[in-house]
Amino acid sequence: MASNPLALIAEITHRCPLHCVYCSNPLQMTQAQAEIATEDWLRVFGEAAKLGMLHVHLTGGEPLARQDLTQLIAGAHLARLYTNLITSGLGLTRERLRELVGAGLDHIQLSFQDSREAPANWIAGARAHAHKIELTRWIREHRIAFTANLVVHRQNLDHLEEMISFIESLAPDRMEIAHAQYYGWALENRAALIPTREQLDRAVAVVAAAGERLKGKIRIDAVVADYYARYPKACMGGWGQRLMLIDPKGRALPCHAAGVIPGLEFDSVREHSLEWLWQESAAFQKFRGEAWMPEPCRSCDRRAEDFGGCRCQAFLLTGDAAATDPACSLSPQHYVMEEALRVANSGQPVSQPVAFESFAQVQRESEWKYRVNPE
Amino acid sequence: MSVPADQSVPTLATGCRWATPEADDDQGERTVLFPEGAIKVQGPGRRILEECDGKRTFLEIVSTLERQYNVAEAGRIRVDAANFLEQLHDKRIVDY
Repeated sequence: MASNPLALIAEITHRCPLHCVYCSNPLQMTQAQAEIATEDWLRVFGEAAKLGMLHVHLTGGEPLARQDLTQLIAGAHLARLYTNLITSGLGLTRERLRELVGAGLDHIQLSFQDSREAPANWIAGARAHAHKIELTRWIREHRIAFTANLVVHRQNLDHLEEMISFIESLAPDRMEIAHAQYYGWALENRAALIPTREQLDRAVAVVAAAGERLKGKIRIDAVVADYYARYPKACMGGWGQRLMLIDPKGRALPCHAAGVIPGLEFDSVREHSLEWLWQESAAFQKFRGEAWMPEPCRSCDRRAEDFGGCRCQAFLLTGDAAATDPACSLSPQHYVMEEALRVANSGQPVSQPVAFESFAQVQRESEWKYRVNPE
Repeated sequence: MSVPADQSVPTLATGCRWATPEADDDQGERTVLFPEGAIKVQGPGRRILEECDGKRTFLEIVSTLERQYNVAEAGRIRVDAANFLEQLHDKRIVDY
């Protein structure tokens, strides 16, 4: 028997008013009419709490695109889950925020694309930055935790200090500085997102200094860039070990990107209980534990620490989901990482932001492949 | 950051809360939830944190604990409680 999961990632919709070029959503998205109903989610939250899960992370897409979000939060709260809303803030008015807090929202995690308006809107493919800043004032009217999230990459790392000061001025409890992870749309845009070695080294020092300076005031959590790491990340805390993701149409996945792995079938909450999905479904058993591991993972001292890295990244970069994550320096296919880094460090200039007038115009004039919406 | 001052009023930070109400619980482990995780506390740690109700000062909390625990060494509880709360303060789980 696998031990119980700790948290549920509820990806309640793929609809989103933003088009972020590093979105982790799958390229094939769920259409609105295929999304599961309010009652399905409420049942899922009840079962999640019974399974011992403590947190639910409501994400998307943009969770606010679902009109029943207040009901979903109230249901999760009633089931005694700690509720976290991961949002762009678009679609959130002062009144709606008050409603969500009244329903039991514990924590709001608001994304920022940059400290500067023009590049922020360029990355998001939407005029979103100013609204996000206004929203932070409303958030602080309530006693809920507030995390400001910033995704960093080649295009914005050169002014990381300015971005940290900007986030600081919004007075969050927590600041998450996350290097872009190359799944979904981010992998499509990797060449323009991947930082140089110099940018990365500077970022590590800047984040460490900010962490020291803001200690006890704002907690900084950093998500590292695994392309430059010696060993891979312990993706999701191990496959089927801690987290369960339910996608908009109710399928249970071990992680955000697992849908890319060929041959994996994902069973649905429409037909099965969460307990069955966790314990019995084929997808959760596929890479759980160590039996699936090839060498060099199988005999590696670190296998209980990083679990061989990320299965989705292994598939996306080597074509084999059971291979050692090529982020690992011990992987026989580590050369694919080294090649990506060689290109990133070959002196190509950083792009110039394209001024935002409309999504169609910025889409036409930028080199990005913007995230589009489900039809 | 520094340890709590005598007159400061320690409390669970915004967005941090007990997983279960006190009444539902025995004297064993209790869980505090925060944005990206949870900690389990028991014994003296649990007692210290349960005293942090946002009403009483650190000094009052120490007095309460000193009455409950019979520790010979003077000032020991005060130091232990201060260090414990400082750690949680740095993690943004406790405010004072």
